[in-house]
Amino acid sequence: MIRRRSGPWSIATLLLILGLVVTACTSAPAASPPAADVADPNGELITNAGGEPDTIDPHKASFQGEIAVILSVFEGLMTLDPATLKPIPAAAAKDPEVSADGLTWKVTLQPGLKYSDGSALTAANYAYGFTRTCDPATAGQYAFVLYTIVGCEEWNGMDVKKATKAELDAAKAKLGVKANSVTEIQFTLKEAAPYFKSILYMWVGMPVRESDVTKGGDKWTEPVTYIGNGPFKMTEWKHSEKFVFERNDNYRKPAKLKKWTRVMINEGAVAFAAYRNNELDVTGVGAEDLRTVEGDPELKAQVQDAGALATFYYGFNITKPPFDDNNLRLAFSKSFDRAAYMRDVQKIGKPAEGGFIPPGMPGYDATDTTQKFDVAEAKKLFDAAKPASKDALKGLKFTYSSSARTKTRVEWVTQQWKTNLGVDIALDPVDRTAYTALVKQAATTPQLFSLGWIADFPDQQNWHTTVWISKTGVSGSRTGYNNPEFDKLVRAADKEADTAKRDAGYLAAGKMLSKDAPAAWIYYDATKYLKKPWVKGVVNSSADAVLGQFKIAEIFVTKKG
Amino acid sequence: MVNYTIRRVLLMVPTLFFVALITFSLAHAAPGGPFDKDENKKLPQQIEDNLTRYYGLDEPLPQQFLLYLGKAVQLDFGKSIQRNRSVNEIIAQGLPVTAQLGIQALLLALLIALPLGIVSALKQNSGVDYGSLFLATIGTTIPSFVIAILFIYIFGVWLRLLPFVGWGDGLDFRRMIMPTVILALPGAAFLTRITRASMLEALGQDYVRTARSKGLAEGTVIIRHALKNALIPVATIVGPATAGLITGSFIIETLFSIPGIGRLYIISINARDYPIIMATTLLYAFLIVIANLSVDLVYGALDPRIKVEA
Repeated sequence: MIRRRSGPWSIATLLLILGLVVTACTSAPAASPPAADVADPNGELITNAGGEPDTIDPHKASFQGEIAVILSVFEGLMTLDPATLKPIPAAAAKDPEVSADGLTWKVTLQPGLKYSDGSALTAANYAYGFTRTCDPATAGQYAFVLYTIVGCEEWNGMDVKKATKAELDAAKAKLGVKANSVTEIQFTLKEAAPYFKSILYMWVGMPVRESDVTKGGDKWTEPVTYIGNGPFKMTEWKHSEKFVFERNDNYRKPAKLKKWTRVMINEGAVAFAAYRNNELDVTGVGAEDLRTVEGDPELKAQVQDAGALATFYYGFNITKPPFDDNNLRLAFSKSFDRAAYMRDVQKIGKPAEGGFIPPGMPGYDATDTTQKFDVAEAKKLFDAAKPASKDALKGLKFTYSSSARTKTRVEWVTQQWKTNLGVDIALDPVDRTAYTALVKQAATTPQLFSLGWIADFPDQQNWHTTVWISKTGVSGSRTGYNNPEFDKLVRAADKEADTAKRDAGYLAAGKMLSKDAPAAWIYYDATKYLKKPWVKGVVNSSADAVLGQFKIAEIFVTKKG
Repeated sequence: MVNYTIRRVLLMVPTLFFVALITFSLAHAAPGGPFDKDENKKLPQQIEDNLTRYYGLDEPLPQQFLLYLGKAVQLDFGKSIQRNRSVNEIIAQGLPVTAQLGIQALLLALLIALPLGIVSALKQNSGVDYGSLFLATIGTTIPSFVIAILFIYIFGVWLRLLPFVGWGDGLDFRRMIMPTVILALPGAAFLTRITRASMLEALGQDYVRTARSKGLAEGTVIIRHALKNALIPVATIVGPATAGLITGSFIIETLFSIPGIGRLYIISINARDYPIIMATTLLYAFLIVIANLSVDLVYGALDPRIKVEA
């Protein structure tokens, strides 16, 4: 999943500008405390969608803000339990029936499901959704999560301009997705993949109606054809200004909110002002804003903590000196004081004191302490490194995607290594798009660089295998990490039906990964936001970057006073 | 005059062609592409290939350029890569908002600057003059985002007088006040100084002394003789400034959540959204050309000695 960067001006900057005088006078008009926790049947919630989303087409989307819209309007076969992050049935009547070999999955829909316009929802609608994601003509960015379905990768990899219609149709016919009946959908997988159950929650499988896509063409995501089966229906999309959603009375368990407006305030400081003015019921809190918020008793009481399921790390290009040396990589990793970094710089989140997988995720390993901060040990490792690799440390640069915020962070980081290892590192800021292009493959990847991973779905497969498998892994490919033992462990775990054995396999792989250290784990991200006292029923989860998104039907507002 | 105008309009064709060519080349020369949205995500190669084909970026660049030109001539500016929407539609939705805001700000700026500049010149070193100097200094030196945030806090949060989120239907006067005023401020400040300077210069000219010596009323001298001449430098600046205001302000639109096109310029460049980069640049170039032409025509009206026939 991809997260938007926040705007360039923080509340802290703002306060600096204003001085404390103005802020002292800006306390919002006291909202009378809600009488009781009774949902206002006409309640409206106003939140900030950030900017205009690039797309809200479920089969093309990739950013969190886009996915938040999709999860309001559509409902997948499965959803996630906010407490455990295990997939649980949503539109499905029960857990999928999986054949003994793990290859055939049958999902039965709940009876009587409807779209918001009242028409019936069938298994064929879901089949169309999954099929459309695999279609190369859709050009969806998340098609790869369905590559475990028979035929999806092959069809998706075809050149729609060169292949004939017959060839494309033949590839489509081989796709392992079909509706067996009005209520049963069947998937055929290439190999056993227990994690497929989590994938069934994702936006890529949303039951968009073919007739809406045909009718609306490129504009099918406008309210008139953006018809879903989720708790809300979209009634207005004023581009770059706001979305309006209203309760979908045809949803099987109608939402408690009547209306949910998501305005598009791009700038954090303005969103904060709007929150103080009661024009927003919820707003995000950035690291720079924490001191302000915590200094105000009223605001402090409104702070909410949610997870993020994200790990940020510094990658090494291990295909060339200096970081072709494992000792040197570990020395860098172990000489980094993560706790101090969190306290002084990052502020929101937790220091990465376990492995790659963050807490809250299945597979988090607090016992994986290989990379733990230990300067003495780091110095020993540093001394044990190959002289040729150490020589290559001269002129070392730390390459990062530049912004005002990253610069101060990176300065702190390089200072750590200077202090603890005596290595001089130059800063190498690069414009974000150029940086993204640069870190695509090991051939162009800088020696030392900064990255993060945010879960697409909460399963170890999406972390260890997707990110670190050699050659094709998101970061395996760019750091040049290539350990056949690791590959073997994760590939076996991917297919393992026995949960205990599967978890054990990933744990072993995770420990191996931390020892090989193609990257230094730095911190596990988290989310903080402010919520007005009249907003109730929000169920935070460790996967939420967006307000209680796995139980949105439960959110309500009491009378605002 | 008519011939001149026609010739200038025809000259727009090669101008816009070269603007298009240069913009296209520079945009594609920038490192990274439209699908390099996030460093943390790496698209599998075949998915990037699908996207590349979907947006027609798989064709050789010269061919892409020619295809683009072919469509642009028919006023079809393609599809935004970032937004997956028609560029025409995006601009058609945003331009009226941005243009309205820009024109309001321009009129406000002129409304402040001309009287203030003239009075400052007439009453040199008076209270009004110093006051206008003070305003002009503030208007030019304090960045608009600082003023904007200050205004939002004072008038929006503290006094709760003015809304500051969104634009509404473009008819809500209260919503327009803050963005219009803040957008007008730097222009007003600059124009005040220009008006004052050129007015002072005009007042010292021989023809003004002549006008006065032949006993014309002071009002006539100022308006007919001094002001008309003094306005020439002002007009020179107002032209391009109009083009700038109509195409919007990134900062004002960002801070006040205004759904205009001002934000598109910056965002499209960062996102390597080639069709939007092309369309916004061409639009800006077109407006600049039109503005300059208008200025040249206005010169003729202000000073008959400036002949537009050449």
